[in-house]
Amino acid sequence: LTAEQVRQIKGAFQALPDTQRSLIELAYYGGLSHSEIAARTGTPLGTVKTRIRTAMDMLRERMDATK
Amino acid sequence: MSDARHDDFAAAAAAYALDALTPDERRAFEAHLATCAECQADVASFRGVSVGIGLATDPVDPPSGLKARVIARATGQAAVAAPAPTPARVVEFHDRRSPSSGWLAAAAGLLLAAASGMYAWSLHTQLESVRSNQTEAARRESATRAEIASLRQQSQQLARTVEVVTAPDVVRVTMAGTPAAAHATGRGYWSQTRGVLFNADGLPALQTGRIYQLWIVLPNQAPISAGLLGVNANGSGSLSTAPPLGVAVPRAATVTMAITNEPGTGSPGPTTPILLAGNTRTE
Repeated sequence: LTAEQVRQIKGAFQALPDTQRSLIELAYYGGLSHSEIAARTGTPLGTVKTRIRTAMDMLRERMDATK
Repeated sequence: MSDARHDDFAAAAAAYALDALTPDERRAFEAHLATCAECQADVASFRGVSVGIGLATDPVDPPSGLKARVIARATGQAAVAAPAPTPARVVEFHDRRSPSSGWLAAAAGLLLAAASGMYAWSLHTQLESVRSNQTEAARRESATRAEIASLRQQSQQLARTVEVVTAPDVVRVTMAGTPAAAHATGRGYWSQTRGVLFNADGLPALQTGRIYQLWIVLPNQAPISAGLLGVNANGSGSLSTAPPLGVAVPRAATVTMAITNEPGTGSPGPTTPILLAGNTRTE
């Protein structure tokens, strides 16, 4: 990872919709599985899975764009 | 591979890279992963994103020894293995079904029944042991996850501390207790671009429903709330507030920081005498 990629991810991470960013934070800093996140936030499991995937896709695109 | 089974796992690769699958889900996904080049590529790139998230929110190297601790923990977990099965008891008897040896066949039958019972019991014991090992492994795994999460949080806090303390526009205030909290000491940092950081020791215990509030006071202005904090049994507490605070860090004027004891949700302005205070002039 280059410094530029990290900068891009940071920007993209902060630009994520709150609903997506908070899910990633719960998984990454909270150490929660997506089922646990679904139970805690009252969000359907399918929605949690899709949002995490969408958010990670977006971060990946930004990272790949600076390769 | 893009069959129906793969589609089931489409969301899993991202969660896997974030460590957000339950043990069962992870096992199922890893079984699929072994046979799916597309998922392998997904996991590899998402791992990069996951590392990037860590770096993006956390520009500081992990403390030395962290890696060793995590590896030791992981190795300890790997060391939990099912016990070697005890060899099955082999019961041999000869069928000498002569008229006079009917009792022998009966005795042998009893022996066989007893041996089967013992064998079943031994299997049962092994099963219990495997189950308890599984529970132990799951417990360790969840402990390891919790530790990693906590280390990530610590690392992020550390990164934030470094960020604020090293900010080019930071002002630093050393605070001393007033007679009402003579043993209290504190230190505050304020950067317009990176936020406020404060920690204190020796503050009196808080009554239920009360909280400490940090104020930043600039000349000829009403005190600005910089956040709320509780204290532990030792009277220590800390506070970290994201920027910006609504006012700019003055270049020349004196900045005063002060702590008061306020109702649980904080107050718009200080309502009780100051317990801890200091200003930039004393630096």
